[in-house]
Amino acid sequence: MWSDAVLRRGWAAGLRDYVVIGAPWAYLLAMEHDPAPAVRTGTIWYPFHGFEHAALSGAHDRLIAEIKATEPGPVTICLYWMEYQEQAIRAMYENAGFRVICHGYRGKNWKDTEPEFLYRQLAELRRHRRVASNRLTTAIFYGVSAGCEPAVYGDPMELVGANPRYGDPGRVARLHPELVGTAPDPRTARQVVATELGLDRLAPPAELRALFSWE
Amino acid sequence: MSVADTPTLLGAEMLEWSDASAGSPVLAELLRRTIPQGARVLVAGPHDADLIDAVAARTTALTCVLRGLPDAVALARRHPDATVYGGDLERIPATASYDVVIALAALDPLTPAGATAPTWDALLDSLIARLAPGGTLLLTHPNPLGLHTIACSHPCPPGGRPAAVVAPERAEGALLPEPRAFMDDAQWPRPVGVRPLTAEALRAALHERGSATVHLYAGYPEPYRPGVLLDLAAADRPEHAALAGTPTTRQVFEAGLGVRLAPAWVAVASFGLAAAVPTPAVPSASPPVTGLVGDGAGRWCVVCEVGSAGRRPVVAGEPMRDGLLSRDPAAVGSVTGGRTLEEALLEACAAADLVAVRGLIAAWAPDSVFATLDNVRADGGRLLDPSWAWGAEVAPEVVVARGIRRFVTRLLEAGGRHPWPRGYDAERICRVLHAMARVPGDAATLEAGLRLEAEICSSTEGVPLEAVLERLRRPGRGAEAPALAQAVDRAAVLEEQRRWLLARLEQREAALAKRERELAAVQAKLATVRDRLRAVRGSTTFRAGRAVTWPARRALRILGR
Repeated sequence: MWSDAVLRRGWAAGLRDYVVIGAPWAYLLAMEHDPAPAVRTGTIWYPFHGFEHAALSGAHDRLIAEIKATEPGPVTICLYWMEYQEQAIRAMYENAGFRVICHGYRGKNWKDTEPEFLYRQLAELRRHRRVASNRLTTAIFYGVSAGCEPAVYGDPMELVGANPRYGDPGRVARLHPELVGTAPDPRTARQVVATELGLDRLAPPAELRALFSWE
Repeated sequence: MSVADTPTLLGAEMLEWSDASAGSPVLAELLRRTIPQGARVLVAGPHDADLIDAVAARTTALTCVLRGLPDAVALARRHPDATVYGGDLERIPATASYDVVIALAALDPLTPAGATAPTWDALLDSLIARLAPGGTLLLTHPNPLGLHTIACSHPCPPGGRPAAVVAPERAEGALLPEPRAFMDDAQWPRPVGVRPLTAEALRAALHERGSATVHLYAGYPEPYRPGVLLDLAAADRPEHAALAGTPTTRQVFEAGLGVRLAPAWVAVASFGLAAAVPTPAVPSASPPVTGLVGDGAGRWCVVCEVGSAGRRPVVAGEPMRDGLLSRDPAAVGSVTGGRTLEEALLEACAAADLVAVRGLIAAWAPDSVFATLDNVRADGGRLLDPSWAWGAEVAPEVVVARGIRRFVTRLLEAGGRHPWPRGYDAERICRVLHAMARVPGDAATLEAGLRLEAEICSSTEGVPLEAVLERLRRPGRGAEAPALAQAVDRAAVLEEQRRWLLARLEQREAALAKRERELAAVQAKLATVRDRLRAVRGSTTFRAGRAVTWPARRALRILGR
């Protein structure tokens, strides 16, 4: 489990027998020291994406206009692999003058998963001053933990046929309203993110080995 | 019957029954303080041999009554000079009267199965009727609402106790049958009576029956084997929480419920006008201390008085020794306890606060074999009881391994909540804690720690090493009846397994259903193709074609042959 809150949510859902050890990302942060902190410029923007089991409904052009109106510097758009492969969607962002990237495949059942995904994401985040999205997502959490200032704005878009049990849309934004806006307070954001990612819950290597029977 | 080492049978004695007995070093000390030298004493019900020995040391006029015949035989052999009755208390000759009557196993085990079962108050009347004027009654009254029935930190069913198999050493050709099945009499139907629900009700019941002075003590942690006896007037003081031992008991004392929730109340009641009777005054009439605390099991126990000045051994005896293990009662010290590191850890475990668990265990730096988590103060790591010693050098990592093993055993045996998955056994939790303590815990170190703890427990508890090892390897999972907390824990594990198996079953069934759908689709396709083939074969064109090509095919077949 990433954090105590997730553990409690699991309990509330009837799940048991978990140990809170923090997010994998937190270990990556601890392991991958920033070699030479570069001058951070611009914004890395993660448009909320559909996934293999649910398409997304929303207007990319309206979002692009909002990004252009809000972001002061150069913008890197990071698309999910499905949208990245859609020439039309990619072209919309490229034509707007944004740099468009993708961190890699999600994969399925541990097949075709991009093993360097999080490494690439970390490297990109460390280059940017701001991290933004139209939804409060892990990308924002990761960005804040990597030193970016957060922003959550724009049409949140909707998943087609989303299961209401996950509270979409709006549950996450209601949970952390302090992180929503074009310039939320970075200090507050860091506190929330530390809790959500379990940055202070990391288990030392020997303990992880014992927990997972890796010895 | 006047034959020495044979009990006098009163009738209704139970031929194949043995009761679990009451007793502890603290109770023995209470008896030493209460029984006047040379007094006539009646011990009613099952009591430990040590307790009877303590009584016998003060008087030659000792009478005992036991309902189980094997118990009566064993007692008669141990104390040939005593009068030992087997059977129903009611049938003791009415002419006999006693200066002291002892019923520290409570009143329930006084009634044999075959006798008329009196109510609790009738039994009390019957015991008091045996007292000479000015006599003293010592009675344990288990609290029906005691902490042991609520928290179940110790397996002990209310209202009665599982009978232990106590096979008396028997002479060749003895007539007695071997004791066979022993069972719990907690579920016996008993007549309704007035059973006190509070200490004050017990006091009132004794006063009503003519007791001039009643001293009451709260007994912890078990009703019949108290390790702590606290004078009721002082029991609810918060500082006594330190004597309590477990976090639950501590909370009970801190909430001022130490008396109300005591597993048992022990009464010392004087009857009649003591001044008018020329028997020696009962010392307990003016308790000089607030309580007695027994620390350690069996012969290793050091009984201390507890008062405002802390604790002090009642008898500062010679150092005790068994192999490498030794204990010096003089070194017990006056510290009455304090919050232990173990208590802090148990709390952190129950709250699943891994950061706190890591911090506490990493800060623990045992410098001796006995600096175990339950013997070290949470504030500063000072030893609570420095009287124990181990006469050999032990590697520091083995000392840690022993301490961790002991903690995990106590945690699991008490059915305590902890943050690790229930599927983790003691060994695996030990490994995690070793990692947290940042002390290498390879298999050999863990085993060495386990063996050290087993050797020490075997010596202090007087249990064979193999049995201790078995207990330590599977704490709380032995063959004995589980305590409530353990039962709840086991039920949770089973529920977890059930949930997992059901999920797997569902998964497999879904996969099977999918395959079956695929199979049905393929079969349908096959049937369609066959139908089409049949239709083609039945058509005129096909038949005509076959007729035309028949000679050629025939010729080919013949040539091919």
